[in-house]
Amino acid sequence: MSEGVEMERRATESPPEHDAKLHEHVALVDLVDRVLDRGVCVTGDVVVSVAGIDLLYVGLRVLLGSVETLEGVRSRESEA
Amino acid sequence: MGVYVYCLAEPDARPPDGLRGVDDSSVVACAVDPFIAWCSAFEDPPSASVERIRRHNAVVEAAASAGATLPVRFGQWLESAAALAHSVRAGREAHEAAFRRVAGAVEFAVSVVPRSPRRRVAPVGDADRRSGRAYMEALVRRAAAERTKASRGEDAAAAIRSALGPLARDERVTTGDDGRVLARIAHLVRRGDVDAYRRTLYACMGDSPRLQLLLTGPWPPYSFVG
Repeated sequence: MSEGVEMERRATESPPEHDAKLHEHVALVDLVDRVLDRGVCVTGDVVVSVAGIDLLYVGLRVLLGSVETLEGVRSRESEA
Repeated sequence: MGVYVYCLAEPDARPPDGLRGVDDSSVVACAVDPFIAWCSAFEDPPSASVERIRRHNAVVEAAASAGATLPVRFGQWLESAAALAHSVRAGREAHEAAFRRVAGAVEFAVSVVPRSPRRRVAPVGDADRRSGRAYMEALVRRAAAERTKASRGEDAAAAIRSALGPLARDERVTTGDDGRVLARIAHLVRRGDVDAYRRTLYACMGDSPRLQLLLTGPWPPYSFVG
């Protein structure tokens, strides 16, 4: 990127005493939140399918909660 | 064949040869006068996964590295290039305004988090259900705690805004997250101001004994194009 700003510099930036795990979580949340819920919409509402189940994206917490839940269901199903 | 869209770009900002997008698909330019859309051919809309979200964002970042870009959110698929051109043309004025807003700028994200462990608001439990009055009082306590949390987030956003001054060209603030985060703030920052922006944010981090500020970026300007 021009003027010295590197777009790939994605890591969460903060002083080292901060919790690395929290930073990692926040960076993923920021990525998913932006790509799924912000940006130009050229086709209206989109049904996003997560882990094989269609969801109308209604909020990051709902989505991430659903992914964790669905992955748990999947692993239990595969063990059965 | 349908078209999956990553972003809108200026007419001379074409994808580099060999750029791969979601599911390792080729990224190509699609003329949507007066812009260029960076797209891949897809039979059907791809479903969401973290890997696909990362690949989508990587394409948008490649475009942002080439010039002013309007990121398109994940999952935008149209049945043909003609349908895409028609849809973009319908929003042309809004897109042109968005290009002007984000030209020469990137986005940073600041999450405001308490340093001390979260004091959990007691859920409405069985004891609260023994009478209608106890139940209503429990609901009131929860609502008051949520208002306090939103207020702390708004106060923190205002303090950061004051410290940054014109370094933040624009901002979006979200409060009301029911997790640990008090506020999520997006700042639009001129590329030439990025170093000064970071220094100012780091100073704010040091000044705040009770709050952590978690900074990510630079991002393409997702929060400022809708």
